[in-house]
Amino acid sequence: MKNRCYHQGEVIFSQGDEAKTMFEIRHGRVGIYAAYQTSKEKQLASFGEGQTFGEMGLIEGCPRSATAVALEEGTEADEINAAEFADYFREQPVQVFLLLKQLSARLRETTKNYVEACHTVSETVETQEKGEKRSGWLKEKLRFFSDVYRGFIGSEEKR
Amino acid sequence: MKQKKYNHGEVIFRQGETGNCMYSICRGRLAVYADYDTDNARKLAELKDGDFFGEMGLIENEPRSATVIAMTDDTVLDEISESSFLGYFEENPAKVFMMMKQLSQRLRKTTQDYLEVCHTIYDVSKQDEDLPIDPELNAKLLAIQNEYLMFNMSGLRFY
Repeated sequence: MKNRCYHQGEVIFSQGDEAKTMFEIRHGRVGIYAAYQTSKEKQLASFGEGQTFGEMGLIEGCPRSATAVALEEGTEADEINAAEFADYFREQPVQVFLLLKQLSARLRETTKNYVEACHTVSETVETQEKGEKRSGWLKEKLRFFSDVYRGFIGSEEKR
Repeated sequence: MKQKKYNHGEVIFRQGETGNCMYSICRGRLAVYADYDTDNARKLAELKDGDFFGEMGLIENEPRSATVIAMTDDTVLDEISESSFLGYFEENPAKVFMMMKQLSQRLRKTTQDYLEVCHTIYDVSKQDEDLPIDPELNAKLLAIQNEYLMFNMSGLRFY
């Protein structure tokens, strides 16, 4: 396990970087950004002491989906790789349980959104087939999910 | 932790039941169904050796969102309750990792599917509502509508 120390504003990892580790914050704060330092920059989350980030890198080894930046001078984090994970779990089983909880909550949330988006499509088709005008509710849903898509392609733009 | 045995056709848990344990498949194949006891029963997934399922019950204590059936005789499962969870994973730390990997793969797949639907909705929104929908786009809409009507809000990727 490597202990790392960062200056305020220092980038811990960048969107698109190869990833094989997760981090647990020992001190300070870390911000997570989509499209960091572009016109479409958006802060997705911030984490403090005792919290973890970058787990998806460890779990799946996929490129980083966002940029992590130290928000305070002297932010400290432990970097944990797959080989060290078993030890990490032994020392912090509750932390791992929380991680599982987070993952499962996200899965539930995403599935709910997915089903709602499919429902919106279903209503759109029906409305079209009946030759009716789209209801206010339907227009709002179409707008909402269009924005989700636009937000996604926005954050995928290269710097 | 209990080890449980099932034969072909036996139910591990039913949609709607409260459940507070998860399962690890030691041996056998299982099927996940929505609306199992009805005319509208549809298979959502198949599970095999090494797969975990039912985490939602353990982690979030929600009612089961699908029915799981053994497809093979001599199916053997580890039944893991909240109290035995930490002990089980202490003896098998690699399994925590596997479980997180499975959850996160499901999350990734669901997110991908969700964004694809949002993309389709975005394309629809760009078109004039009063004009007929472009046939290629309409085909996509119909495919999504079909999927939606088939699974109709049941436990799609978490159970």
